[in-house]
Amino acid sequence: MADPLAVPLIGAHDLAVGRGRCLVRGVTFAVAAGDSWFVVGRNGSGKSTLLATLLGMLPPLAGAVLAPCGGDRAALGYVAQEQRLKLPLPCTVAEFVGSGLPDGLVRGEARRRIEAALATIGIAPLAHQDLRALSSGEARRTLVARAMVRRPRLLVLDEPTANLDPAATARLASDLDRLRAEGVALLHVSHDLGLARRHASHVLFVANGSAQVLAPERLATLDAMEGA
Amino acid sequence: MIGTVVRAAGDDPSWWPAWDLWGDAFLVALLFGASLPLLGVVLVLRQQMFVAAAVGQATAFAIAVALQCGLHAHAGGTVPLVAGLAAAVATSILVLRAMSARASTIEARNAWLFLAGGSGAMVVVASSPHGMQEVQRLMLSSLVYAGPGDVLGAGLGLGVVVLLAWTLPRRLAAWAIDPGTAAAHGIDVRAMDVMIGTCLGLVVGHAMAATGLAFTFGSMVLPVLCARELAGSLRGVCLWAPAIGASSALAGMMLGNRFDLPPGQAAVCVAAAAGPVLRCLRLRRSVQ
Repeated sequence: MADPLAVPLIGAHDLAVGRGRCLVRGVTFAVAAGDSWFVVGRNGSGKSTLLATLLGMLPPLAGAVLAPCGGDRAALGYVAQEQRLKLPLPCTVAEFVGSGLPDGLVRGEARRRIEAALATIGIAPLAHQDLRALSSGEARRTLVARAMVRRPRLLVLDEPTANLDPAATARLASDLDRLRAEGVALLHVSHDLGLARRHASHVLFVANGSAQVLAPERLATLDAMEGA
Repeated sequence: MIGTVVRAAGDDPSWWPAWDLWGDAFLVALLFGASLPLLGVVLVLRQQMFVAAAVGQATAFAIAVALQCGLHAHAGGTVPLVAGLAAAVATSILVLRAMSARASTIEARNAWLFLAGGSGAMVVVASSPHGMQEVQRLMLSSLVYAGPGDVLGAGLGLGVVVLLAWTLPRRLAAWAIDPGTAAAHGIDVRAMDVMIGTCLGLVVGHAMAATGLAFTFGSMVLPVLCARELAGSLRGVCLWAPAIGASSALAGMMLGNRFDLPPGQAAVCVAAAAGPVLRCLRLRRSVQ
């Protein structure tokens, strides 16, 4: 019998993606438990389109997608790039995190899961706070907690550190490192090469309509080129 | 109106409507007063509160077309109502689907539906005195024509809305707050759009036919805006909003009976006045 941990949690084979016209082609990679993959590239290079295709929100133009978690969406946690956390109605952090849970859980189990997710991400004291009163860093961590409440085997994050100051970025990165150490696979989409260099186990570099897998150390060269 | 109020106070009529005359209208106001704000919570969360007005106008347009085609003479006069409900359901589903697919509030589309539906209804029945009277009743709101069938429909609507909120609270919240993440997490957003759109269309379409636009739209939005001044959580809003909606409807009926005012508009005025008052109270409390 195959080892379930050896089965990729998400990936692609010779995948081509785009909205109407092809943006990126030849994407081949596979994410395993405990990996920390970063999809990096300039704005407009097709990173978010690739992610939408991997998650089944867009059809592939060619090639194959390995269904996330073997099609078990309950094992997937997703943190989107653009969020409307400034809701027009009051909503507590605990309520928002709870919206990530599936229906049908008994009340006690749901509460335990919410408390555990808040504690894991270190925002338990904010449980009864209104979302509208959160800082950007707290809001990002709340989004991660909503994904974590699902107890995912794979966490997909689209630009998780966008608009965060260095301290909030470091704190979120530390939370994510801890999750990875617990066996959760991470797939980030980011344009932050420095973050990728420090926290990636694998890098998928998207540029000029193609994607290649790089060793994280190679990012230092790319970073220098970006700086130049 | 002031003269009416003074005269009415002098004659000392009752605050309570005569049950045998106004019982159905009273019950319809209370039931829709409770169900419409619960649906309004979802629309306000989605920042789509004008959907209610657009769906209401689409209902009026369909009823006007049915009247103009002479269909009110068939099937016991229920065809215009069925046409209105069908238009309301179709409009609700289309608008919710568009929002989920584009992840935007599509207010331009709502505005188009509101204007085209409302004006179209008037144009279609311009040559028909009976039709024009009916469309004006829908636009102006009146609870006085509500009958036993409306009570049954409003009760069923409230039951379905409460059942949905009770059994699928997290799924509804995920769908309303962030359809993109809901889809990534495996929620069938398309099915949710159809389910909520059908429920929204049936309740709003029936409320529109029974009570008119002002009461329907007002009951959907204003109690929610009042509730957010009182509640500190989404759960609190879901409890306060129907209570405020039903209370406003009750107050509207009583004011209407006591001072000979249109009860639908009186209910909307009560809810509209309560919003700023509650906001001032909240701000004062937060300063203290």
